[in-house]
Amino acid sequence: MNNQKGLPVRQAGQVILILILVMSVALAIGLSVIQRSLSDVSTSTDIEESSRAFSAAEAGIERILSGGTPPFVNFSENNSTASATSYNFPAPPGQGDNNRQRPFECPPGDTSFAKESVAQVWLADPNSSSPTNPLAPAEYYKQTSLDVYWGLKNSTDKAALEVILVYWDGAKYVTRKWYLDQTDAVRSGNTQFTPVNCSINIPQLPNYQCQYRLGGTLGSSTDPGGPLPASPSVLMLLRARTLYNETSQPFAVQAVGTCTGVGQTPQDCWLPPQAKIIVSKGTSGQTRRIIQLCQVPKVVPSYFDYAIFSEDEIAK
Amino acid sequence: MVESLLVVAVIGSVVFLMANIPNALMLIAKSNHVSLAREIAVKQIESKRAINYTNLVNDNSTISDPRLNLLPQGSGTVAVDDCSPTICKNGEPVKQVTVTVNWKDNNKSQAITLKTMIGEGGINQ
Repeated sequence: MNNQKGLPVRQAGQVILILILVMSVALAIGLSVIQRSLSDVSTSTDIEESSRAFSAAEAGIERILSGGTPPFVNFSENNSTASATSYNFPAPPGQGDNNRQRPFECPPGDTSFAKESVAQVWLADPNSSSPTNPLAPAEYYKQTSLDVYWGLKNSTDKAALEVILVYWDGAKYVTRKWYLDQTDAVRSGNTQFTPVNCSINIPQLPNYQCQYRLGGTLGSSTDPGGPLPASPSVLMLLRARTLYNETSQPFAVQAVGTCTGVGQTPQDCWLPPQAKIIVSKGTSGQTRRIIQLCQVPKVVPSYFDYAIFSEDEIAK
Repeated sequence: MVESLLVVAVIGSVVFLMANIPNALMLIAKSNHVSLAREIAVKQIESKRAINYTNLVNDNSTISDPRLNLLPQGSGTVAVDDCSPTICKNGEPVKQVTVTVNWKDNNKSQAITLKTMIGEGGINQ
């Protein structure tokens, strides 16, 4: 049976089907091109605003570092602004801290303590001096133990840790050293380092792998070297670096104890303020960038551990 | 009747989309240019940050980045000035750096401007 044009009835309408198919493909191509163009324009605009905001945030940091007030920058010509704030760190314990100071890492939340670099933590306030002895600090950490944290949680790059404590024993400056290694590192049996069980959760620093209490007991682990030196010794500073690691690893120190007993001052249980944290917020359009900078004004040079405290005479 | 309306609607949509494709392609090119200009400007700021503050003199120079050739009629300037007194009210040792990259898209002038500050004893100093 044929239709009016003489075509078989079953073939009628095939042209329109093919036409619709071709048009659907063309529609899909057109839509994808337009959608890509819109998303590209949106992305490039966002990135441009992000760069403006970042540059403004850097300007905010510069304002604080140069001592400028108010710490506010307004680049009205290119529609970007920045405001910066700074505070001393570590700070005294806040509400909910149960009088224990929070861990000190510089800057807070940073996990980029680079391989081979040395971290320094003051245990005595570098800006205070005793009224009776100008060469001695007025404020210093007086507890006999101290927590150290290191290693990135769940990282296969398992770092060991070297810690050097510098203290004044009443007559001269002395060092005490720790070499700590993770028990599940493949080398741990060969290094003769103090083994540390790092398969624990650390609630106060959940991104960290290991915790060890220098001079004290934590869980079933006790420091074989005994407590940290007590008065008349004065704890001065702690230096640490990670060993055997290929990637950047975090490091933090936390004071132990609350010092609420008779004859104690809270500062006896705190690490002194030693760093300035600068936070700058740059804004451009709807984009905001935040830069955080940790400035440690007083740092001993990197060769300190290997020259000043050499047991043998230093000779060229 | 319904088939005819359907065909007209589909054909209309396709024609509309096809007419917009050149604009869409132009927008894609424009966004690529914006991204490239931004990269050039950021690199200039980083270069200035690598210079010691004492060697950072007030200047207005042209950018000589080979990637400018990838922008239509691309050019750029880097201006180093003393910090504006409206911002640095106490005469702090801070320089203001302004990087501008210009180019043309579809015969329309386009520009990206990044501004920041570099201070004595500041970042990277």
